[in-house]
Amino acid sequence: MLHEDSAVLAFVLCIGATLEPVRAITQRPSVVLADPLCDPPCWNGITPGATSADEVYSILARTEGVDFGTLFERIRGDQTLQFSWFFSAPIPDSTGRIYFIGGEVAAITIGTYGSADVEEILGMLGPPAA
Amino acid sequence: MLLWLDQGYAVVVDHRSSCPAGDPTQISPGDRVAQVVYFEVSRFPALLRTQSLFGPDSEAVLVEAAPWTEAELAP
Repeated sequence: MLHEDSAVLAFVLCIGATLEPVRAITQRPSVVLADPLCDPPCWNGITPGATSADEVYSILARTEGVDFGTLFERIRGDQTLQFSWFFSAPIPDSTGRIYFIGGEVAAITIGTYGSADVEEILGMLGPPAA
Repeated sequence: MLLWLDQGYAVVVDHRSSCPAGDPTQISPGDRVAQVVYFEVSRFPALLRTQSLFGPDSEAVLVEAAPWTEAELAP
C-alpha cells in the first residue's frame, strides 16, 4: 500500500514538473502589462470618464481572455452600476471589475493577484505620487 | 498601496498582513501586486483623501459613490 502511494506521488510530481515549463511558456503577461490598445488610465480601449456601459459591453465581448460567461452586470433602474468577470487561461489575471457613475466608466479594477510584481508595474507607470 | 493621484492609477500590493491607510509598509520590487485600479480623478476627490477607494472594501465604496438620482428616489 505504501509502495503504491509512493508511486502515485512520484507520478503526480512528475506530471507537475512537466506541466510547469509548458505553463510558463504558454502563459501570457498580465493584461495590465500588455495592453496594445491604450495607455493608463485607459485599459483595453476603456477610458474612465469617457466610455459608456454599452461600449464597455461590446469591448469585453470581443476581448480575448475575458470569460464572457462569467460576466455579471449590476443594474439600478435603467443604469449599469458595475460589470464584473473572471479571466480565463492563458490570461494569468483573476478578475476584472468596472464601475460606472452617471453612465460612464468611473473606475476599472484588475485583480492581478500575483501576475505582476511591483517592479514591472513601476516600469510601466513610473514613480508613484504617494 | 501606491497612488498616482493626478494620473488616476492605484496599485494595491499583496501583503500577508493588512495595511490600513496611514500605516506605511515597506515594499520590495519583487512584491506581488494584488490589484491595479484605474479611476477618473474628478469622480472620487473625497474618497482619494481617505484612500478608502482601494483595498478590501473598495467595492462597497465604489458602489456607494454612485449617487441615487431624484427619479430613483421618487415614490
